[in-house]
Amino acid sequence: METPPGFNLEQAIAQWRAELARQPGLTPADLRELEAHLRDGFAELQRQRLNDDEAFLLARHRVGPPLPVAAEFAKAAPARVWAPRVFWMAFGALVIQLWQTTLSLWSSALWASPSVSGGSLPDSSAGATTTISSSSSNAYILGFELPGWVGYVVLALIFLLICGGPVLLIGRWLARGKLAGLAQLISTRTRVAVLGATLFLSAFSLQLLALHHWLAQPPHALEGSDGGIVVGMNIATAMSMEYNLFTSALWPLCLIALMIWLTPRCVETKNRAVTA
Amino acid sequence: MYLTSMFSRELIAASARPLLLSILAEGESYGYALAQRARALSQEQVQWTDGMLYPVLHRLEEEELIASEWRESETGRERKYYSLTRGGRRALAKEKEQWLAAHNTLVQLWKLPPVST
Repeated sequence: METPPGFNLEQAIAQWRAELARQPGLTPADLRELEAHLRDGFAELQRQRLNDDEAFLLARHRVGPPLPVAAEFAKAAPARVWAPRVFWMAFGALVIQLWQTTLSLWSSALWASPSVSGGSLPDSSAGATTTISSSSSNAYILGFELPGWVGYVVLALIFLLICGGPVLLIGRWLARGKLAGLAQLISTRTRVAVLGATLFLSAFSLQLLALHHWLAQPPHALEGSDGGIVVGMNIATAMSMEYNLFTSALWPLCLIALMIWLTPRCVETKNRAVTA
Repeated sequence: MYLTSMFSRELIAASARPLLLSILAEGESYGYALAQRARALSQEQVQWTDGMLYPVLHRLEEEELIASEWRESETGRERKYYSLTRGGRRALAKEKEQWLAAHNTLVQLWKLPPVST
């Protein structure tokens, strides 16, 4: 029988394969095996004198609809579905943890009050840190004093922008499925380790930089009404912050280790075409 | 693998395991040929969805009852061949015993001759 000129077997198989690949729980090895099955079925139906497109449709029908087939694979190996989910949870937690710690340290360093008299000292665990002078209860941003509640509203807005902006933008970008570049970055254990180390080291050095910037502020900024005591408190706080910095580094390191562990040891990246 | 008319979904799922082990006891084979053989044996009474055969095979492989290997066939096409392991043979003997015991229990009530093991 004649085959309609529009039909292209390789194109049809590639489309079918792409549709299957979108289902969770199917590994490249599974796809390769299912493709071999489809090609076997196609070849046999062709021998039975079916058109190429008819043979393909019937062979595809015999393999089964992508959704229930993938569901059956997932049922047989739940780890395949859950490992990537836990990986992304760990990745999200890692990014948020690093971002939050770095941000709070920089906010401590930059938004310190020019006169720290009995005010609260920057606290590395808090998101928004304002240094409040006890005499006026005003907020300070980069050394500028903002009177009353206006200061807090401005601070809240700035924080909303810095914290919420990237979360919304990146979240929206990821939700659209624009993961192609990222998928390459996490395709092997080595790459995951490199990505994790890069994120961690850049955040950690930014945190150290913030700490040193904060410590290096001119003494007058640290002097309170009772002089040296405030400076002493500052150094003590800075030291405890440094200590906190190192202990809080354990979280990202654990998350990176988890991500490496969850990455399959040997991903079959070679997508070998099974020749018909 | 599931069916349309005669078998229930549960029965298909339960019988897939001894069925695949038994076909592989005849010699090594690959997914497509296994599905064809199962289809022929059931005399088309069971409507297989071939794709669902693979999770069962993979589970059997995980249990080390069967082993697999990618090889090029005589036609030049690449295929994953499955074969029974020694453990698989033992598992098959056990399955056979259990299925026949269940069968012989029922046939007594249905006044049919039992099958000797």
